[in-house]
Amino acid sequence: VKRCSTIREELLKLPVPHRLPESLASHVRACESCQRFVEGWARIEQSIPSIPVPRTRGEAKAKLLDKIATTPPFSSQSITIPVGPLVPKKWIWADQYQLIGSIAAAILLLAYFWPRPEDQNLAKVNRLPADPMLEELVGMNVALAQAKTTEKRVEQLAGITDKLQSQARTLAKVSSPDAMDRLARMYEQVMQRGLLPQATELDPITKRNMLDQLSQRLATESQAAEKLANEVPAGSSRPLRTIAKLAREGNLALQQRLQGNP
Amino acid sequence: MNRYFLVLIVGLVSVLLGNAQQSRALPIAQAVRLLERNSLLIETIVTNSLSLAVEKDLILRSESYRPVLVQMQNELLSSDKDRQKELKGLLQKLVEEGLTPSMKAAREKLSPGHPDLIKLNAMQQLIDGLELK
Repeated sequence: VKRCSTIREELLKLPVPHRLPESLASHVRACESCQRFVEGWARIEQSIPSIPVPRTRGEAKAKLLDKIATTPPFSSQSITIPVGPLVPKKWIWADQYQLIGSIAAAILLLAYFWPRPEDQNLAKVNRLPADPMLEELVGMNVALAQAKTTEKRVEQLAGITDKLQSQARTLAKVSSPDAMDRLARMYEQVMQRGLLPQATELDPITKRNMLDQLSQRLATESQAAEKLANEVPAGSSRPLRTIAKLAREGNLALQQRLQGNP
Repeated sequence: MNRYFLVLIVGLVSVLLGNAQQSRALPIAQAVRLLERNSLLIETIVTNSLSLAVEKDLILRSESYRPVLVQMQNELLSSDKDRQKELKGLLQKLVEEGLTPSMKAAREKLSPGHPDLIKLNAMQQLIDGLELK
């Protein structure tokens, strides 16, 4: 029994596909795959006459015939073995196009399926970055641990109250009342137990500039917190008013200290 | 061949521009979540800072770190890698730059056998049990 590949090789040696010798026809009748092969071959043969042929003046054809006429007869000595690629150059270009196209498609697919910004944002939101507020508070904590003078301690305590009130103001419109209450409570503790007692220990004459700046800062914080308290939800306005009140009182205490009152 | 390069470049530029347009962060939303996540820790650190500002006694100053260390250690155990890295860095800073110098100064002022050494040793044990690296 002949294999299909052998049969097809023999088929292709025939001049036309519709006249098969019985030795091949019997196999084709029994084999669906070879039937499709013969049908395809027949369609190609039918299509060949309809392929458009470019118009020429016949010069190229005349040249080719001349060349054939003048070429010496075949001799075994004139055989040369091709060294370069056997595939025509045109085909190589086609392969290169395919390669470049494939690379481009692969890159585009990669870019398309690469994690999208919104996915990355979601992941980022879920992961959360390092907390700058926490880091700053730790920095001020360490500075307080190392502080040798009241002045240094006041500086750091003022930094903490500043951080707390600015965080409260920044997040007042979106933060929960609980978180706002916590910020206000911490502000109150640091102001009443730390900053004001320490600041009023400072000499109003030698540390006048520092007390003056602190007083002004508290006045500004108080006004800003009071103003914002009118614009935010009720849950945030109360803690902001607490901060405003404490800052106002702190400012008054420092002003009294600056004026020489105990 | 130029067509392929053109398609490739246009495609890549479109994708990159699309990504750039959508990569806006949400700082306020993140700040809110960070505050909610860290508020207890922040409260503990602020309380400790206040103690450091008003307390003169070196033993009490050193002991005031205990709640911070315990809380940070607990947070470390229940955190992902990124947060662990953040907390370890902060914990290390607190211990190495805040607590340890304070303990060292306290130890130098105590004579051998002083009862307060027990408190300092207990703090040292707490530090030794921390995951700082």
